[in-house]
Amino acid sequence: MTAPTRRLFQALFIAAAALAFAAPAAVRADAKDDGKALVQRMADEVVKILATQGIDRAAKEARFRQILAQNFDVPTIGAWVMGPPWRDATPAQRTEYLKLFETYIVKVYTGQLSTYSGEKVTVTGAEADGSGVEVTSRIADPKNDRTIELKWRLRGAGKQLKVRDVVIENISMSQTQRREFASVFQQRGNSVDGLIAALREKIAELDRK
Amino acid sequence: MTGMHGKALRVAALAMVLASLAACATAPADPAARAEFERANDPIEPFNRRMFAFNLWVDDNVGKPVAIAYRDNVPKFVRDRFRDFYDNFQAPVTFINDVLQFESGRAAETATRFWVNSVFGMAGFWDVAGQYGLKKHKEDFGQTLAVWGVKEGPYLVLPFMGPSNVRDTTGRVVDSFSNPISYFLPPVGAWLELAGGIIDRVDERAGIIEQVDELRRTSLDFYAAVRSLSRQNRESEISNGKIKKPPLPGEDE
Repeated sequence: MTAPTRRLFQALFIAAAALAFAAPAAVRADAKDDGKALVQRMADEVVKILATQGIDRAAKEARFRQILAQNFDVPTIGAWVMGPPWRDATPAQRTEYLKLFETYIVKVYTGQLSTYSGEKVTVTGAEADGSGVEVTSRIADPKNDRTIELKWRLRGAGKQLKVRDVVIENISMSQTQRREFASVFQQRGNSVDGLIAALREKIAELDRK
Repeated sequence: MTGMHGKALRVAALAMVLASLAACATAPADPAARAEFERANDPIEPFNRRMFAFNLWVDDNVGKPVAIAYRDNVPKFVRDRFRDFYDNFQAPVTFINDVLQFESGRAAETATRFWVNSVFGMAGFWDVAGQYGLKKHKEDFGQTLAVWGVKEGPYLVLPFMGPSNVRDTTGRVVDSFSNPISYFLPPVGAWLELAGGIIDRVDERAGIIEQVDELRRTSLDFYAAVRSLSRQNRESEISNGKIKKPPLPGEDE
């Protein structure tokens, strides 16, 4: 083989390889099982925390924060919930906002979960969802004779699948929060600092009571 | 007749709402803010927020206390009988709307449920059909209009009745006149519709006491959260639970 031909083949090989890697990663066959296992593990951990007697709120929140950081793609969710203002936010604002966002979510979920009294989450299935997986689960609500359907939408973050949205009875939590944050952003003079201030005030208020 | 009074009141309340629609917010000029304004679908937000505050006041002073008293003092067995009875009483409205939405399977389900529960369930006090796997569902004229392609129109917070929009408000008016039982059994039917409607509201409120408290406590903007929740919930009702996937963080706008 002459040198130019070899170089041509090399170039083609590199191009093909680049294309192969650039193509969207197909859902791995075992991704569905990974997703189901992740949701079940998370649910079990939460139930365990809720069932622990005499655990104070700070300790509860610390455990939830761990679970959240391990299983949720908090930076992606946080950026998206802020919406269009994210593009113009400074790195310092982004860092501050994401820190507060995580704390806020921890407090919201700690509160919401405490209204459930240890009902079991049953993982019922998983299906391909775009480039990721959607895991479906059910919680029995014995007080009202009904079951609540929860969907967990997962995407790969690094090597691991992480939750991007929880959809409760067809209502997306991320979407609801985004609409809410948009409204607050507007009321606070269309300012990222205003939104950050609102988050900080809310966290302080939730700490008080 | 009380039922007609109730209706006249409801229509008057609606007229009041529609008259005050003139209190419009102006759309912002900035493109990003404008896109946001359109996504919120709430051109009369200042009015809606006042109405929302009014409804909260009513809920704090009447709705929630009554719901708590109902839950704590009426045995679950009795609450379940009321719930089953009223659902069965309203089944003809669901049936009419199933038909208008060309959902023959669901219409047949509703019709079967209605006669089975009316005959074997002691006039509907027992949801016998549900126990045999024929689960109930609800349809209203607002949903029918949506299936026919009518757009929701601006968001609207109705006094006492809460989140709605122009299309569903129209649907509510039609629904309040469309239950055949009220026509075939004039005084009794109208009474049942009124009393049943009140108990239905109390029961529904009683089922979400902690959830509402929690949402109100933790939300940054309770009004905006409820606006988004009720809109998503309505979309789910209209599509009978088969909604298209909501936008996802990191992938959609």
